[in-house]
Amino acid sequence: MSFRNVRPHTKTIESFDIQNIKIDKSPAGQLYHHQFTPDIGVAKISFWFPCGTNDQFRPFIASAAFDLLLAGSNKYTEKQIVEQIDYWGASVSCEAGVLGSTVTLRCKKEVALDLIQWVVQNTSQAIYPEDQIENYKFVKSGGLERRMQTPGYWSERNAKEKYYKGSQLGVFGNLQDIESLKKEEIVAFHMKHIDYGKAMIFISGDIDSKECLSIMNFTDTLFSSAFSITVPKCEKFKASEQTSKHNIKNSSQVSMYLMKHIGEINEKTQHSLTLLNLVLGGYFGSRLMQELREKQGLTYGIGSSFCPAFDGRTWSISGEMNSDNTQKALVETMQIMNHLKTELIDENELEKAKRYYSGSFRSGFDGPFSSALKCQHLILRGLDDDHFRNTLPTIWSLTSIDIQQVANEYLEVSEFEVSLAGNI
Amino acid sequence: MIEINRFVLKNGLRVVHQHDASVSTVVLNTLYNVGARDENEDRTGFAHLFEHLMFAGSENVESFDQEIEEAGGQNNAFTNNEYTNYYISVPVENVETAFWLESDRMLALNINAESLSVQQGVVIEEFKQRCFNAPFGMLWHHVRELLYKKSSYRWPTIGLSFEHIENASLEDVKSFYNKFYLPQNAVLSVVGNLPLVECKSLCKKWFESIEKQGDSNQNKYINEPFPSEKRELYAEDLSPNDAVFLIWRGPSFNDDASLVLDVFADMLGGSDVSELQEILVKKEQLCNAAECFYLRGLGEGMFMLYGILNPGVEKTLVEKRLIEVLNGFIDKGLENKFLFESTQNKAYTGLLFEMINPLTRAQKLALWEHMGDVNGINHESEKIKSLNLENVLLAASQYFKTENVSVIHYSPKN
Repeated sequence: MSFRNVRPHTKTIESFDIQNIKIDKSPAGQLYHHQFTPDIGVAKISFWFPCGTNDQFRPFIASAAFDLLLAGSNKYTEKQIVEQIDYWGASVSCEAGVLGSTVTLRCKKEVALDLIQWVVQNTSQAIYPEDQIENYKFVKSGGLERRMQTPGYWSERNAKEKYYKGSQLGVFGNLQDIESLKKEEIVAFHMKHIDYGKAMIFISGDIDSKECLSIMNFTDTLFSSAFSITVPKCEKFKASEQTSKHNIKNSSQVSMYLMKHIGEINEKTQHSLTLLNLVLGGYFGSRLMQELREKQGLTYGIGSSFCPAFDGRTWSISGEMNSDNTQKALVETMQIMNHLKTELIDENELEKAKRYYSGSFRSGFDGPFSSALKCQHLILRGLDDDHFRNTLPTIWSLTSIDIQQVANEYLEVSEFEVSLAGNI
Repeated sequence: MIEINRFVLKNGLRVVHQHDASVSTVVLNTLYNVGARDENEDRTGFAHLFEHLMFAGSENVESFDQEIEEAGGQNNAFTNNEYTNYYISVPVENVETAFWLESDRMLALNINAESLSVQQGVVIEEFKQRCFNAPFGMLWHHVRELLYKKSSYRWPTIGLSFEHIENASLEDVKSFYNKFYLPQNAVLSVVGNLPLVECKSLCKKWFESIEKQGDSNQNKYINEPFPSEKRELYAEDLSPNDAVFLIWRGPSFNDDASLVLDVFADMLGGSDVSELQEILVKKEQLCNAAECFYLRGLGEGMFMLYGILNPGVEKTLVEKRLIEVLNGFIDKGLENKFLFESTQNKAYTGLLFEMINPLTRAQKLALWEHMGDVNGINHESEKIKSLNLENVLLAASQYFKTENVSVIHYSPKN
């Protein structure tokens, strides 16, 4: 027998030496997190603002306010601001999320403080010039029109609009909403929400504690009140009884989208649900991927995933397939969901999912920029800074019965909004 | 500078290794010297179809993905016109599983009628999703059709049509594997928390005994001259707006001019306040997107300059303005000095960020080794710093001439 016949022994990742994710307070009271990695020569600094699309009163206001932050200040034009950033070899991205939004700077370590000062000064004094807003409308509309030609866009949008009716999570916006954007609305959003004095700061990369202190000395001059984010109380949503159908004549496929909202959950439930999601459609070895793609070749991609807490915590299942196979794929997807409720997961299958989950969890701590997202998770969920020490023991303590219990509580097919779009 | 170790196994497999004790994982990246340019014109899309088959199991492994996931790792692959690249990232404790899997599918892939039929279905759905259901989905078909008449660069990686995938026989597929999936036609890079001694020992155990008959791919292709005339193509496709694409062929990665033209493209269109953006999107409001890039291919490169039009704008006007902006930018000469230095600085910072990720490092190491000099990775930043503006503008003026441009006039399909 060849040595190749014998699978090498694999170890499970059940523990590792994990540092606490520490959230510090500057002398003025600003919250910040610092992760130092020497000798890499670069830094990443993020400002996290406790605002987002959840705070806008109509579509696209929050994204316009962030997208146009560098479009001109009371002292400099967009060209002057961006040319200086480019000259430092740096990049700045501004992104509006649902509950929180970020301005992220990436640069060589030597220019970090100058860059921070430049970006903060200009973006906090952003004036949103009319001509830039007009250009923005063209660019934004073009992008939206292109997305609107894909079945995937419509299946997700129709499902969320129906399911989240009345909530910001179900607001997508149309071309007319972009066309009617007004400067005063964008400025008002900025004035009310984009305040560096209330932001939380993540400093990571090749910035030592002395350099970090210099940065915090500068940002402390802006301090107004400590970062605080309010996670809205979980609303109750209900799926409609009818499948949405959106016909796109020229399409050669149909996009299938099933979704529901997952409200506040405790840690054990969170990890049980993550394992359930992996078994359902969260990785290549999942039932959906194996059954619909690898055994039957019905689809290129099918899977299920959770949207993070700060983006609404939607649980979705989606895939694209040939029109002729849509009904078959939908029925089989629902059967797989039902089966997870009625039958205990085999121990081997659960062990595989745990191994994958724990391996991914640990590798998520690798690299110089790894802990900022974890910090956000702690804050949004009000967890202690040693929280992640408990993750692996919790994952490994879960049983098939735990997974079946969460399946029965959360995986009821009738609670999922179902939407199809394409050549139906 | 990163410290690189390189060795060659008896069977010709080249291995590059870099030890990084700061991470908890190891990446194994395997590059095979085979891409879409190696396909027969009646059997296009094969290299990509084959990429899918490589996950269908091998002589001693039933399910590749499930073994990796059980080891707590992740994997994937991609194919382009010039090579096929597979990667695995695993916790260091389970690195031997990655060696086992990667070597087993190099040794003897389990190709059978059933796995072929399933993956044909998957790839056909991918073809439809990418080419028929996405705006500008057929762009690369049109680009390659216009730029090449004889060369095997004239089809995109996904293939000319999905019928080629449908018609692939088991024999076709087996012969493709036997011809290209040889140790002497591959590079393995190993990056992560694995010391050199252990890496060598694992390579010897799992890879060195793989002996396969055949020669490495000599990469001999029809050498089709660059177009000497203007070429035009009118295409209808899924898109909400008209668009104009201007394309020129250019030098290969190993040619110094390739980096020069890459920097030029970044100067012209690589910023929110680039000349292209400022003139065509903001000042004249002809386009809702105007961009350019230089694709640094191993065999040859390609420069694409394009605009997606605002409603009511004429394509002929945008074509004219794209050319004028390009030429006007070159004619500005030394006025572009500040912009040139900014672009150099951005490229340098970009390299520093790229080198942080072990997966990116592993892929770049394999690529540089494949191109003949793995240490090239350590000289990229010097090369960027040593460029001068005059040479950048001169190269652009030599390669991107109005008289040999290829133009695609894109219109929405009704």
